[in-house]
Order: sequence, then structure tokens, then C-alpha cells
Amino acid sequence: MPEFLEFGKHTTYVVSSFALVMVVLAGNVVFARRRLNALVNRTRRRLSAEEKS
Amino acid sequence: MWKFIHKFGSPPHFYRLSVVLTPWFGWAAAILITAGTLGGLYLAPPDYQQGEGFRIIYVHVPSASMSMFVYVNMALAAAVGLIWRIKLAHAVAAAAAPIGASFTFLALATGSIWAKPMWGTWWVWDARLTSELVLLFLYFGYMALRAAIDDENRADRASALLAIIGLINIPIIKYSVEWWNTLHQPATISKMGKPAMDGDMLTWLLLNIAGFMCFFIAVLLISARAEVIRRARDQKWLKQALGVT
Amino acid sequence: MEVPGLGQAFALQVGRDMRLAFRHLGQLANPLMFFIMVTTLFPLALNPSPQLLEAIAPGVVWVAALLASLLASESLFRQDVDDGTMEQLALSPQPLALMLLAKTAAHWLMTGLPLVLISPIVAYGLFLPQEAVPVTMGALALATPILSLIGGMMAALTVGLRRGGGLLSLLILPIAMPVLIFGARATDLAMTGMESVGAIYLLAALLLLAMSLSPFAMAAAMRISLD
Repeated sequence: MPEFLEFGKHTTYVVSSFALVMVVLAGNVVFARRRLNALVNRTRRRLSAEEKS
Repeated sequence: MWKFIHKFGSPPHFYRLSVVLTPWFGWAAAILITAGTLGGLYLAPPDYQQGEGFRIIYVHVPSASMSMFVYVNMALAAAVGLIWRIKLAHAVAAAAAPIGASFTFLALATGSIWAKPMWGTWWVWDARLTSELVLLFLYFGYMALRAAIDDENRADRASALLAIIGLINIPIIKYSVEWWNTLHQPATISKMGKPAMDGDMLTWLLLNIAGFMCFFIAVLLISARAEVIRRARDQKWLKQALGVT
Repeated sequence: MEVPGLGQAFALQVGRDMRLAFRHLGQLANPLMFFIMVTTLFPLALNPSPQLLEAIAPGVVWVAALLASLLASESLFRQDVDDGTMEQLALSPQPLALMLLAKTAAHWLMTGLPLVLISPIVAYGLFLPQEAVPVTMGALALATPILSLIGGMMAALTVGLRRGGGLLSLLILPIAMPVLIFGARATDLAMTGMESVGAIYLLAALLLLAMSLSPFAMAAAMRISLD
């Protein structure tokens, strides 16, 4: 693994910037999906509650 | 033509389409970004001047170009929503803003990480970094205005107008920053990231840009779906779409 | 009833706003006081050596002018919206864009113009070289109307909102950045004895662009806010 992440004298910078990009991109996906799921569940509950009443 | 726009612009149609398309763009993004990143990290030769540090270009340039692309798309969607009163367009604009802001943040962050080994400081008032910073402020202003208005309809239209004003100003800002920079740039700092690109490097870079584009579309489809649900007034369709019987 | 023509309506609106403003001179002086105070803070916070002050003078004058006009734009439409005058203007047969342009013009006459006139004194206090003063005044005379117009657009967008203050600066500052760049550069170039006419032309071009487009944006924004 260490030699896999070896980029000359700039290793830290290269690895950290790639890692940061991946983390932010993944965060975007997770955030968007969680928001959508929460909204869908809430709307579902609201709709079925209205159905019953 | 109008029939097509109305069909495409109708929330039920968009909802169905986005459910189908999201995985396609999502997987395309995953594959392209993986290929581009691995290629950029291992297959592309190091730059003869900047050495290995130059590999940051494979994430910096896609982020920077997407940040601008997303703003233009957001403003155009907002303009369509404002002019033809299409709610879906407002939903797309609202969904695009946070994604664009995170691309802008990434362009700034990777730019300053790159600046450290190249120029020895985390920040330089380079023309490109400075206009990215202003772009980030534009995104923040857009999101803050939207968050400050409670009424959905008014928030849509006011923020759409702001996005259009911002779009007209982007070329002015870019030009003025470049002009300011050429007057003040110390001669020792050469322009960032313009090494002679050979074909091999360009391939991986283009793969990553395409991957970022697919990523943007996939996340945009997910977020826009949430915005569409939030704005939906048609109960019958909502029940059908969400599977409530 | 006879409807006044465009020019007459414009003049009447400017006159009304000026008369109203003269009744509240205290409020009006706030941005001007702010401009002077901010420029006073720099010698106090740094050290009052003429070399240092001279070096930072263009930046200080322009940033202070930008902040002062930011402060002024807050109150541009608020009162008229609160007391319903704006509704009447929106319903009047005159184009709303023209009326809002008139209001902005009156606003500039009351807050922007004094700033231009007082700038030589401020510049003197900051040891700005004499030869840069006329250029600075000219550039300020071109730049402050642009700032008023930008402020007017953003004030119209945020006028009904409770938390206006911080939001307004977040909206105005990125858009106003080119004005700051060109203006400060004009002063800077004049200070070092170089030709500053390029920056002045750029400011004039920006002013023309702002005058031709922003009234319509202001009117659209005001209609959204009044809804």
C-alpha cells in the first residue's frame, strides 16, 4: 500500500487533494439521497394520514 | 414543440424520467471518474517541470470547469422558470446551486493545495483562484436569498432574477480580475496549470471532466426530484408516484 | 385625469424624493459620516506614517466608498414599501422601471454625490498625492451611481425580508467587485503618474451598462417583492 500512494516529494498534497475531492463528491450524493428519502417518507406519512381521516 | 416542452416540463413525466436516468448517469460517473483518476495518478507521465504535484490537475481542472458550467446552467434554468413560469425549471435551479457551490469549493481547495508545493504558500491572488472565490460568493448569495424567503413561489422568482444578474456579471468579474491580476502579478509566479499538454494527459483529464459532468447530472436528478415533491400540489399524482394507496 | 409624460414623471419623482430626504437630513448624513469614520480608522489602526498611508490610500478610499454606499442602499426602498407608496407606483401608468430609476437617481444625489464631493478632504487626510485627486473624484463620480444601481437592484430583491442587512451585503459585494477593481486602479495609476484613462473608460462603460439594464431588473425585482 505505501508504494501505491507514493508520488515523489508531493505525496501528501496529491493524496490529500484527491481524497478531499472524493469525500466532497460522496458527501453530495449521500446528502442528496438522504434529503430525498426523508422528504419521500414524510410526504408518504402525510398522504396516508390524510387518506385515513 | 410546445407540446414537447409541456410534456417534459410536467412534474410527473420528469419524476418518472429521473428515476430511470439516475442510475445510468450515476454508474457512468463512477466508472469515468475511477478510470480518469487512476489513469491520471498512475498512467500519465509526471510533468517535467512540476513533477508529481502536477497530478492535482486531474481533479482541479474538472472542478473549476464544472463550477462555471453549473452556474451557467443554473442561471439558464432559472431564466426559463422566470420567463415561462415553469416550476420544474425552478426546481432544477434550486437543486443545482449546492452542487455548483461544492464544485467551486473543491476548485478553491485543490487550487490552494496545489499552490503550496508549487509556490510555497497556500494562497496566491491568482486570477483564476480569485474569480473562483467570487463565484463561490455568488453561489452563497443565491442560496442565502432563497433561504431567506419563506414563500416558495417568491423565493423561486427572486433567486432566479439574482442568478440572471450574476450570469451577466460573470464575464465582467472574470475580465476585471484578470486585468487586475496582470497589473499586479509578481513576475516570479508563472501562470498556473498550463503545462504543454500531451495527448496522454489530456485523455485522462477529459475522462474526469466527463465523469464530473455525469456526476452532476446524477446528483441534480436526485435533488431535483426532492424539489419536485416539495412543490407538488397534485395529490393524486403524488400518491401514485410514492406508492401510497 | 392627465398623465404626465415620462420626463416630467421622472423629474417629479426625483423632486419628491429629494424633498422627503431633506426633511430627514440626519438619516441622510449617516453614509457620509460612515465614509469619513472608516477612513479615520485606518491611520488609528495602523500607524500614521505618511508613506504607509499613501500606499494604502487608494484601497482605503474605495473600500470605504463601497461600504458607505452599501450602507445607504439598505434604506433605498424600505420606507416606500412599508407605507404603500410603492404599490401606488407599481399601479401607476408610468413604467415602474423609470420610477425606480428616478428614485435611485435621487438617492444618488443625496448619498453618492456628497461622498464624491468630500473625497478630496479624505484623500488629503490619507496623504494621497495631489495629482491623483481629480482622477479619484472623476472615478468616484462614475462609480457611485453604479453602486447605487446595484444596491437598488438588490434592495428591491430583499425589501420585504426581515433579515435584510447581512444578506444585502452578501448579494451586493460580489457584483460590485469590478467597480472596486477599476476604481481603485484608476486612483493607483494616477498616483504613480501613469495614464489612468483606461480604467475611467471601463468605469464609464460599466455605468452605461448598469443604467440601461438595471432599471428593468429593479422593476422586475420590485414586482416579485410586492407580490
